[in-house]
Amino acid sequence: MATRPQIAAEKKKKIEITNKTRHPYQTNNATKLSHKVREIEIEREREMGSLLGDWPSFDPHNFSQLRPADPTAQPSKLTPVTYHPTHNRTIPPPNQVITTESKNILLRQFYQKSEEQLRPKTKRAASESLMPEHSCKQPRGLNSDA
Amino acid sequence: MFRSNNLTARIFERQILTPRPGTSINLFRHFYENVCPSHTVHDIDCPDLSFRKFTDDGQFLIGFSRNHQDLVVYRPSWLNYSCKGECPYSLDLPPKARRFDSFFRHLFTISLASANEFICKDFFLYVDPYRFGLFATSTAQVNDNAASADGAIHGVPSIEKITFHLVRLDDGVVLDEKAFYNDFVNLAHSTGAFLYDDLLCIVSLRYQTIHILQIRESGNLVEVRRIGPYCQEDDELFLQSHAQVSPGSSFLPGIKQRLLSFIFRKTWNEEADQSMRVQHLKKKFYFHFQDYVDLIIWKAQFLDRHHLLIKFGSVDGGVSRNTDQGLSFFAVYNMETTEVVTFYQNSSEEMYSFFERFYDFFNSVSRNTLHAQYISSHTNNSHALNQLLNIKSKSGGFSQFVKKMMLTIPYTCQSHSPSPYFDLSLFRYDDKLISAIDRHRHSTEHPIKFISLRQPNVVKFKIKPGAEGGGPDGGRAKKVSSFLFHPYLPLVLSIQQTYMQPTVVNLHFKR
Repeated sequence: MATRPQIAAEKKKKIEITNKTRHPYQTNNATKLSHKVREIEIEREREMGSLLGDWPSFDPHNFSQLRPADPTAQPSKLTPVTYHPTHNRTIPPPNQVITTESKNILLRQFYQKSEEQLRPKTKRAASESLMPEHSCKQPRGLNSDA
Repeated sequence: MFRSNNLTARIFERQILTPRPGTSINLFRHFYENVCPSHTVHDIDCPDLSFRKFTDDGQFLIGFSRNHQDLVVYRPSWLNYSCKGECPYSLDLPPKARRFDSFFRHLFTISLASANEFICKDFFLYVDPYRFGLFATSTAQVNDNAASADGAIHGVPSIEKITFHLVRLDDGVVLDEKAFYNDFVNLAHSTGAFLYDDLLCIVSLRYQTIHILQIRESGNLVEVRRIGPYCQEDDELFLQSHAQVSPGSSFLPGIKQRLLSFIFRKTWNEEADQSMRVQHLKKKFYFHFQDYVDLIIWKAQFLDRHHLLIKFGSVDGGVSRNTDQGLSFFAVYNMETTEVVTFYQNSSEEMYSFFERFYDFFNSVSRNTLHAQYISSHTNNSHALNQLLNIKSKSGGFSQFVKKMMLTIPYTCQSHSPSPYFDLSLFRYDDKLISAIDRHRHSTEHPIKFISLRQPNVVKFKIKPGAEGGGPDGGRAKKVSSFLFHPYLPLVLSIQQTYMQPTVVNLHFKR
C-alpha cells in the first residue's frame, strides 16, 4: 500500500497536470475539497475572536475586515445618513399641521359649486372663468382606470 | 390576486402572500368564491313569522309575528352534528338539519304594539355600535285631506299615533320610545328616517319638519333639533317675543325662507349685466315664486354630521310611491350655519355627475362601520359602472335617464345587504331577479344563478326559491319572493309567498 505522502504527491502531480490543461477558472472537485480542508485548518490555527468564531468559510479572507464586536459601540446609537436638500423650494411652511379634511369630497364639490353659483358674475369675469382653477392640472378621464 | 382557484392552494398562498397596502380585505373576500351556499333545505319547518332581515353585523335575525304585534329575534348559529366512526363527505345530513332551530336560536319575543297598533313590517334600522334596533308601530292611516290649524299641510294623510321604539337586541328591553301624534312619516322601507352613526333624522311629512334625534349609549332618544318652521333653536322664542306676528300670518317656514333666499341670490348673480338683472329675476324667480313656496320636503338624509340632503317636490308626489318622474329638487342644508349650500333640479347634469362619480358618499355611514364600505356600487366597481353606462347609452333621452337615476337619491338607509355574494367584483347575477336591495321580487321557476366573475362559465351556486317540486299548483299562481342573506356566513333564507297559500321558506347554506 502506498504511503500517504506518496499518494499526496501523486495527487499533486495530477492536479498540476490537469491545471495546466484546464482553464484557470475551472476547478475540479479535488481542488475544491483540498481548499476547504486547508481553510478549516487555517481558521483553527488562527484562534482569533472573529465575529464568526470557528465557523468554516469558503475563503478565509472573507469577513477578515470585520472586527469583533466592540462592546462600547452600540449600533442603535448610530446616526443614519441624513439627507440635506440642496434647494429650498419644497420646504413646508413652519407650523404646518397636516390633518384629514373633515368634509368629504361630495360636500367639497357642493360647496365649490355653490361658491361659483353665488359669486357675482361680471362681464369681464366671464372670460376669466374659462381659465381652470389649477391650470397645471388636467381633468381625469372617467374610465382611465378601467 | 390568488393564482389558483382551489381552496387549499389559496390557503397556502395566503400564508406567504402580502397584499398591496390597504387591500387585504378585498383580497381575502375572494375566499367567498370557494365558500358558497351550495345545499338547500326546502320548506324548512320554521315558525310562522314574517322575517325581516339579518342585522348588518350578522348577530341577529329580526322577525315579526303574523299579527304584526310582536317582535321575535333569533341569533344565527350553525348546524352541529357528529357521526360515529368514519364520516364520509357524502353522508346525508341528519334530520336535525331540517329544523329551523339548528340554525337559529330564539332569543326573545316581545310585544311592541298594543291593541289597535301594528308594527310596520318594513321599518327597521339597526344602531350598530350599541346593538339597538329601531322599530315603528302605528295606528291605522286616515286620509284626512283638510289642513288643520296647527300647521299641517293638506294632501298628506294623517296617522293618529306613530311610535318609534328603541330596543336593545341583546335582551329585548325596550329602552325608549318617541311618539308622533296626528302626523305622517313615510315608514315603508325605512324611507322616512335616516340613521348616521348615532344621529337619526325623521321626516314628518304632515308638519313639514325634520326631527333630528340622538341615540345615546344609555338608550335614550334625545331630540336635538327640529328643522322646518324654525331653523335655529331660539327662532320661535324670538318671533313670539316680537308680538307683531299674529298666528297664521305670512311668515314662511324657516327652511323655506332659507331656500328662497338662496334661489334669489343665485338668480341675481346669474346675470352679469346689471341692467338686465331685474328682468332676469322676474323671469326666473318671481314667475315661479309660488311654485317654490308650495314645495314640500319629501325625503332627507345625512351627508355628514352637519349636512342634510333634502329632496323637495310637489304635494302630490310626497306620499305616493309611484315613480312618476315629475319635477323635484335637491338642496344641501348645513344644520350648524342654517344655510342652504346648493340647490339643484332633479334633471340637473351637475347633480348627475355627482351621482355618477360620488355615489358612495350618498350612502353615508361613519368610517367605523366596516361592512358598509364594501357594498358594490357604480362608483367603486368598474363592472357596475359599465352596467350604468350601458343603461345610459340605451335610454331614450338623457334627461329622462337622469331623472330616473335621481329617484335613488336621497339614499335609503341600510337598504343594501352587505353580503359578499352581492359583490360585483366576485359574482355576476341577474339584477332583476335578485339584488342587494331588500325588496320583494316576482319569483321565477328557474333557479337564480351566481356566476363567478373570473371564471365566466362556472356557476358557483344557485338559489331556487319555492318548494322543491315547483309547488302544488304547478307554479301558475303569482309568487313573490324575498331573500335574506347573512352578512358574512354562507347562509341564505329565501321566502316565497303565494297568494292564499302558506309561505315557503328555504334555507341555503354550505354543507
